[in-house]
Amino acid sequence: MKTLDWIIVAAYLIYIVYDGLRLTKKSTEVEGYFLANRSLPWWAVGLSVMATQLSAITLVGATGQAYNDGMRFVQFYFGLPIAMVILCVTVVPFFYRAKVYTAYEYLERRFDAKTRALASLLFLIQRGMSCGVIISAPSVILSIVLGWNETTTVLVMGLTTVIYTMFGGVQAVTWTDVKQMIVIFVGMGVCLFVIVGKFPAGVSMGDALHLAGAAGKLKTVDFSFSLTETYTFWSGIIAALFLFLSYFGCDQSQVQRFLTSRSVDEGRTSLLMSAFVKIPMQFGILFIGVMVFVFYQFVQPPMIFNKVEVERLQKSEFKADFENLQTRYDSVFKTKELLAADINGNVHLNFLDDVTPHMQPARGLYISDLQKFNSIRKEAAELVKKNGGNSNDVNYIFPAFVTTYMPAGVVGLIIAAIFAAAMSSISAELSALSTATVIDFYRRHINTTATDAQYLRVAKLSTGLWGIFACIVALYASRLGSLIEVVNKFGSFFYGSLLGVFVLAIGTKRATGTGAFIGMIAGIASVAIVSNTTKISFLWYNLVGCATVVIVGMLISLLIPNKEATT
Amino acid sequence: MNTEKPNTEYPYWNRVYLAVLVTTIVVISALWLFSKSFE
Repeated sequence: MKTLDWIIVAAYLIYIVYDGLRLTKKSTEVEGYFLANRSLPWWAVGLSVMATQLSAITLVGATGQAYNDGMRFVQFYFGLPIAMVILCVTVVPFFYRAKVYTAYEYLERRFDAKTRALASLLFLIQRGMSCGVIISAPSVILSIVLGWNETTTVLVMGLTTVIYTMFGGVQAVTWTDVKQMIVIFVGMGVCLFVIVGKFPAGVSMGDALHLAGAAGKLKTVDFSFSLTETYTFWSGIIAALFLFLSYFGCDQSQVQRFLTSRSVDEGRTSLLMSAFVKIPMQFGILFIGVMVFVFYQFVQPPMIFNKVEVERLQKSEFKADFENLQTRYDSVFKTKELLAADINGNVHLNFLDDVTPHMQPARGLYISDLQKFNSIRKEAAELVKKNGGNSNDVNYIFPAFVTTYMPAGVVGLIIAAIFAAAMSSISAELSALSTATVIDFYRRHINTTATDAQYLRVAKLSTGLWGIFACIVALYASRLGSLIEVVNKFGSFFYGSLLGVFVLAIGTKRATGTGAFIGMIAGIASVAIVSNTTKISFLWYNLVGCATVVIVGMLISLLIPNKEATT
Repeated sequence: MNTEKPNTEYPYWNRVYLAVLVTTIVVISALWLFSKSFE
């Protein structure tokens, strides 16, 4: 990082905090603080929806994943436009016209207080912990890349976000999201432009695409059906559909976004904006990862991108094994690099498409060398694991590439984009956590007669406390690897079940509060059983959870009907 | 005087939803063609 890069990162952080804080005056009552007085335009809400979903780890991880596995991850988003249409028809007008602050508030109107409290409590536990993970995961990566210690990175990322979210409320969250999305778009656009400019002379974009295609990196649609394969056309269009219905329709951090829009129609338009933009945007992010892969066909990439793990291996008992692997890695790269040039020594990739018999072996040899190359990287990852380190190198590929090969200024812009992706997700989570705490618990159970000004003070305090809690979780999360896994697993247990409760609430007339409550517990239990006894991909858990809640909830409702059943 | 506006909301939004779904099919088809052409 050069001085210019530090100036860009610092300018971004200062501007975002300033921009968020100047909106404090617009949050003088509870509705303004939590829902921006339902006054925001669709395009700002739409960008905020996308910014909330795009966390730093999605941005950094997706590019790394494309480098390793190609673009098949894009299939995950195939169900998103369908989910958005379903939500626009169902929950958007429903929640908006019900004038609720939280999605869970509606559950009490339809069922009872215990169902609302359980749904909101599950949201608070899961989101409170996952907010810490959202801060922790990019902090670990950025601390290695920037040379900061983890505590400093967590505090810079977490506390700056807490400050503007706490004082500016949802207005600050949304308008900073807009600017953060612009930083992300510009950062990624410039990054792509610079990578392509760094290809060796004579390598055109067409050549790069042929090379990536030959290496299997451009496979975007896989029609095979498998419950254990995470990214296929069918898992994207069916299983991920349920995940998106849960996330955008029942998770307060997203529901709160469209509740801030000026009207039902603007709320719908904001979600449909995401439906149109998300797949091309994700394609663009993955495409950057593929172009990084092409770049590294001519410049030797590190065997392990996480330099901390490399240093640890060099000082460990596995030093000799590591050096042996490195020698093999260097050798395979040299032969592979030669294959990426034609017999005259000029870089020329058309051999990959040349079907004449004398050139066919070149393509075969290239693919064979690529497989050897990847296999050595896997052995290196195993070595890192044996050494007690973090063997998941995927999140370090993109930051390591950026800081090594990008020019001054662009590095700062991309690091700012990574900060922007993280902060936009954190701020929305904090705002949603505070809303659920104050509306579903404090105003409902603890102090039902306070004034608006008192609720506003509690709301700000609650945002600050959730922020501090998330920072504390983040500081310990990197040392508690299994906790992160538990948090993520718990999220997947909970989402499908929550969707099931809303299906019962909105889609049926006979479901009762008791049925919904027991159904929700049964849904969570069913996902726990499926995840522990089968190898089904996590994307399908939402479908399992939702179906269980609806079936069990309806059965209980029919067996134990009560007077509140016919709403 | 009847000031009630005709209810044009549903046909309009139905056309929008159809446009979203058609665009999605077009985008997925384009992605499939893209990957096939560089296989």
